[in-house]
Amino acid sequence: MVEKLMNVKDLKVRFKTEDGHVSTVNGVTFNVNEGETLAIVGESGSGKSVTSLALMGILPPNGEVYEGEMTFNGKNLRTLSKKDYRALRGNEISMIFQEPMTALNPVFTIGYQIRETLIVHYKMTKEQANIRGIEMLELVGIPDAEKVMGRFPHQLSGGMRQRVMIAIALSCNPRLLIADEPTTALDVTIQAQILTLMRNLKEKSNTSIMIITHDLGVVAELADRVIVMYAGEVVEEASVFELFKNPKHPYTKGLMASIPKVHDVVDDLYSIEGTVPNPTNMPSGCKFHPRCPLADVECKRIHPDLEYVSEGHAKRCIKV
Amino acid sequence: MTSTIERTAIAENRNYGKRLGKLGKRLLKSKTGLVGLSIVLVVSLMAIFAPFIAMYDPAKTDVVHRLLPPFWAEGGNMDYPLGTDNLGRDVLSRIIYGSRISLLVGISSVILAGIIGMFFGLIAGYYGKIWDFIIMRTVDSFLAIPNILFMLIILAVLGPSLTTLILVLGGTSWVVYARMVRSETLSVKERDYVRSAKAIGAKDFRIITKYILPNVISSFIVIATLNVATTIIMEASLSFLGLGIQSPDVSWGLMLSDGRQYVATSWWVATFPGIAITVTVLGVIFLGDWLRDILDPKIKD
Amino acid sequence: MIQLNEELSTEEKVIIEVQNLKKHFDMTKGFVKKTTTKVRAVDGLNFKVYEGETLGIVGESGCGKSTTGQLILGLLDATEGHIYFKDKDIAGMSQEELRKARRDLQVIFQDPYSSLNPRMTVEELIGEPLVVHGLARGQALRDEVMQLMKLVGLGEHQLKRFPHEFSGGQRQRIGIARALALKPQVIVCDEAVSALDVSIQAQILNLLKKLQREMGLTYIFIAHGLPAVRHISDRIGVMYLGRMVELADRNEIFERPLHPYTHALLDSVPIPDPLFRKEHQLIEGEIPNPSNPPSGCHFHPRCPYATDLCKQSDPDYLEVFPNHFVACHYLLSDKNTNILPEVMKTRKDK
Repeated sequence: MVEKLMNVKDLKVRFKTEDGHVSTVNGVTFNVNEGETLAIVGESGSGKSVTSLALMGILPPNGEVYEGEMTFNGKNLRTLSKKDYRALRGNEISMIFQEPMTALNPVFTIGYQIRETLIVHYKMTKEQANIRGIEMLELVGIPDAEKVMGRFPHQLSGGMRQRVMIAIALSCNPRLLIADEPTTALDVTIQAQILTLMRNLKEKSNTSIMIITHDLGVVAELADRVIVMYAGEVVEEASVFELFKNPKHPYTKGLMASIPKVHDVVDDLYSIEGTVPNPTNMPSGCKFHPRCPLADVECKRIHPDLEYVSEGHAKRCIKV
Repeated sequence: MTSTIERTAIAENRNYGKRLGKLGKRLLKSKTGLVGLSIVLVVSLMAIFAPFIAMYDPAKTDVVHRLLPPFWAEGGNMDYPLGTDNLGRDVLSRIIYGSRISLLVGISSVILAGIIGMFFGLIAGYYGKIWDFIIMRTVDSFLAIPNILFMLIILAVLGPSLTTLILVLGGTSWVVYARMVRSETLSVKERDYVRSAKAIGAKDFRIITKYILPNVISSFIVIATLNVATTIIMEASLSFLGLGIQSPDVSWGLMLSDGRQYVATSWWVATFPGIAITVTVLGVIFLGDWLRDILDPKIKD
Repeated sequence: MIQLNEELSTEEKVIIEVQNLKKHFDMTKGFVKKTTTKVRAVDGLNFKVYEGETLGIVGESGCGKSTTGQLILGLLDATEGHIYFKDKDIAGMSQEELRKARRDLQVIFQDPYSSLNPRMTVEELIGEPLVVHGLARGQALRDEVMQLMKLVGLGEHQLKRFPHEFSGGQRQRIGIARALALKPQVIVCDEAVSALDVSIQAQILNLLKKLQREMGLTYIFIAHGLPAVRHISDRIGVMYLGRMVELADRNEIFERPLHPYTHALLDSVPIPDPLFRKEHQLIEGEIPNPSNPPSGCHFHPRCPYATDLCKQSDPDYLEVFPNHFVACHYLLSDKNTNILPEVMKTRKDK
């Protein structure tokens, strides 16, 4: 029996705007098991990033979790005090972001920023933290780690900065690493380096990874299990092999068909018509029905539940 | 065909109507904006209709009733609600008339400065190179001279009058706009949409007027409203120093200056014009803040 | 495998020819003591674009692909070299000549959020090129705009809207309509689909293909996303630090890449299928700073096959197979001559 590290049940997040509340995550349920890599895939507006911010307790001031459960390692995250949440972040849960330049503080050296987390969470002395920091930088494949400790973020390339972010995130041996589009801003040869690094790190440690991405290529490279999100809901959940071999939901299928393949050229790509619905104006019934090739009257009316079709494989669709 | 045009026309109207409605809603939501707008409206109406509102000729002296206190104080009466000054002139009437010159000086010198500054800022920012160098060094030299000293010298040489006051205030404060417009232009110039205008073969004049100007104007208007406030204060200071408005014309600054020597004995002579300046300036600042919010093109639908 | 593309082997009409194109930027640092460094953004490009084809240009950041696009559009002045567009040199044109040439030469930008003037309505945006060149006005202008909107899949009720009221994909459609308004012959697509969601990307790629079929357009498709480039291009050029390292027919590039960098680039693309999960043939190191490129072959510090020769001298950019150009010493070294055809061997002997 695998341990469930993070458990999210029926999570709903809304934002306060001028025109009242807008709900962008509408009842998301999933879990992250000990030692596994879970990928959350979706396009912009799917609510995948908001979900991760909610888990980290760092939603913007106008956003709030208004329903659902979030438990991490048995702790209820919704009732956690601010102080306890802070202790959890950067210690048991860490996060890396898409653009490492904005996530690193430009006025402090890399060394300072790595040491800070260690000193705060582990009460290390400056010397101990320094040694550990250099170890971490070496672990993520940074040459001349000692020198890099003295540099400022802008003196490093994008790939190097992302390595530094990973080093900082991993320096406290977190049990869960949340990576929000960690390679999207990187060049493709550098992306390959970072993906390989993440895979190797996962093999070495028992850290669970939750990776948020729009890139099915990244999913296929890294994930053990995948959830596909659309318009603030999970529309499909499966193991990575099952999902790619046997996608059920028309959205998942459409998404896969619309990626140009490097090794297989077709004349016209399959494309999902229309655009992602606006959270202020969600379609009735199944939220995908206006874009769905299978949709009929039923789909307009019925909002389907997430049903299991086989072990570990669930879909939210009445037509398949 | 007609149906298409009609339909687009209807859509057009609905669209603008919707936008106007949105603006109104936003104004009602922003309390400071509402306060600012009301103050500015009241002061403007006061200036426009001064002869109908004021009870007395602001220059009419009445030695018998000199230095009367406001009506609620002992010895005051409702004939002179805010009292009279050392020559027996009605303070309230003078404040009402004074709003004319204060607003006129404030607004026209800002418009003057704005036009000059906008023009040079756009040229410096868009064409760069030698133009930028010449214009910006001129701006720097203006900034290096203390403003008030510069104005004093010019006013002393040319002699104080309403026109020179406006010219001097406008002629010294344009540098602020030039700098602001230049830096905004520099950043707007690099946007893709300006590149796209070049790519379709648009000429410089079109790019500047249709692409750069509309996209720098909102910051410009905000600075301009704030500067109306500064200019009203500046006019007051110059009049206070005796180089601004001269009697028998009246402005709030002049009243402040006249009332200075009676502060200890007859506080109302200087206090009420002071309050008028403060309230108006606050109103203009609130309005400017609100304008900044609504001038953002992304009024969400 | 060695099979020529039928279309290319026949006489094709060259529409753009780039010769020894260079663009160097001066970067000045410091205020009192100025130091100037030259960034060689584009450093000697030679290629041709044939009428009606799509030439893809790929590369990572700093490779100069976007600069190349802007040079071809005349949005930047070339430091050296020529860009012949139907026998006229864009690099030597006056502003007025360029303005006229833009009727035939258009661009679609990457970011549909920043490439549309936020203060203009859709009607103004799409109609503007026609107004600027004095081609239509009044009702004729509106009709033309409506037709363009229909062509790219926008509805006429959207005529009076502002760009921020649209989603990314729809904005890109507006951008395309604006580019098409002048009925150009060549369109430079500068990362035209990179900022879009996957499902929207497919819509736009299909639209671009459809328009090419219907209007006989020539595309120069600049992008960093290899799958999209492969999907849309007939030929693909790979750039690295300001130079073209390889250029060939698209299938040729993907099935028989010759340059080690092309190899690495193709291998780095994650394949959306977990069954293909593999160890990447990682290339070490970072992309060097273009203001201080390595000596000789720019790729040598990251290249697994680099030799002393690669450090010392620039490899020539040669047509090693018909229509397959590559710039690499390693390929031309003695031990690799077996993969090169007879033509090359004789040329190498010279």
